[in-house]
Amino acid sequence: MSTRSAVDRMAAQQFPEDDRARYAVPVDEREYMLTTLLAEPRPDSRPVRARRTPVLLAVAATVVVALGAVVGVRVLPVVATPPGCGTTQAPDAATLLRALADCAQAQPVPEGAYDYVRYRVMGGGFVRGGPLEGFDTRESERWIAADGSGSWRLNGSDGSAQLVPLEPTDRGWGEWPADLGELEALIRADEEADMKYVRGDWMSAISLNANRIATPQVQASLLRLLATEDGLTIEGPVTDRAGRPGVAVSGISEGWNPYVKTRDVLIIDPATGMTLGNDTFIIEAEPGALTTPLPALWSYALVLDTGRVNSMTERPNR
Amino acid sequence: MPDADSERFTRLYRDHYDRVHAYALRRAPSDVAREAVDETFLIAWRKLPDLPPNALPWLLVVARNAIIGRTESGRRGDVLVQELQRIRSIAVSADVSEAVVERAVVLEALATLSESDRDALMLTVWDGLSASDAGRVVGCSTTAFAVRLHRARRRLRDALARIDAADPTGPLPAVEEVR
Repeated sequence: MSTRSAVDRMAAQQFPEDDRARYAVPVDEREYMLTTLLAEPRPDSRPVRARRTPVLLAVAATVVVALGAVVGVRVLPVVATPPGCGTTQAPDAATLLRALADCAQAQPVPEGAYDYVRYRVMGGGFVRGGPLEGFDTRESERWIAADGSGSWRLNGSDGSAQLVPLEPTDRGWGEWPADLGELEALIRADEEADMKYVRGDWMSAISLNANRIATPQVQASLLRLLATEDGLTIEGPVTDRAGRPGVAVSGISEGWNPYVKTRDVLIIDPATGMTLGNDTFIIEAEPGALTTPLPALWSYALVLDTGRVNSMTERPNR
Repeated sequence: MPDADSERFTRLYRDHYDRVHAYALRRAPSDVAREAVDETFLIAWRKLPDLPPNALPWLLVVARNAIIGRTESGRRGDVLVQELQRIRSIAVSADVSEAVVERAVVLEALATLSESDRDALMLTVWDGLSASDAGRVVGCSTTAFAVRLHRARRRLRDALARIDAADPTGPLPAVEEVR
């Protein structure tokens, strides 16, 4: 029996059925509740985000300094960088991202039947009033053909591995459009939200190509699109968790989780413009929502290897 | 005349009430679910300017915490167990239909999974969330959630296979095991 048929069997036994849930509360009761809620006083009708911005920027500046000691993303001495790639000389994050985009654009178009990526993800979770906990680290490899078929190898912490076949239509794999306008439309449609609310997800998506195939030319468009976002900060030259030199850009995400605000750090290879990884830190929490001292690392993704190969048994030669 | 905030909240409430309520009913007794939903929308009203355009994951995070705050440890799985016991009481009677047996088998398989596995499956299969939105609800990245979901699907498949191979009208698992 495949996992798909198991999921189909579960889907057919929804509990409670949506209809049963829908009619569990009569419409007049709901509307009465709505009227009651609308009569509730609110603490302030002004947008909280606008009021908090200066505070958040100050917090962010403090966090950038603190992060090096806390989580190992540390500032390195300025090093010579390949010509054509922006690093520390850029006056702002947008300029840096556009320079990195130029660098990615100049990379050769990859050839091979399968897009290969090896990556590591780590993350924890929390419930309101508790600590960040349940941290789990996993390494995976993916081989994806242009039609989305391929395989996904999940490596267990005990040394075991599991190979999962990927179907062309299973999870909507496909190639990103390199055209900037098409790309922006696709991303915004995918997220169904203002990009500023999903910056962390989006940075993670860039680092892992959002389950899609990203050529260096597509990466260039992703970086140019990110460069249009406001509120991004240059973190400077950094060493990532795999010991590789990179340049980092960060931004604050707020809104998608009601209890915390995060700082999302995207680390790019200055030599190629390709992504090395991203970190997400919780920098601020609603009083009482989290017992872990802040800032605290929530999750990270690390792209360990990428390239094109001609079969699902190959890995890129280095 | 209602102001813009009232109009926005009214739209939000009417658009999402059913899904938030269904989410809560899958995880808590009906009285607790109602209270959790009411609290969720009260917080949403008070924090309306902070709500993202795609508000459902935000609402479900609040509902999740409201439920946890109202239920003592170990009670959250009771809803599924109660439904399972109800179905199994039907299933042991004469002339039971295949549909009833199938429901008992699937619910029993779910009840044997960990809370983390069950939640990953319920969020995507029953609550209809994307991996991205479900990841936000449980507080992990899309990629990490995809890994979690894959493992949960495999465990569900294995649990179903085990129960299919056994007597589907056998004894219920003890409640203590349903964690």
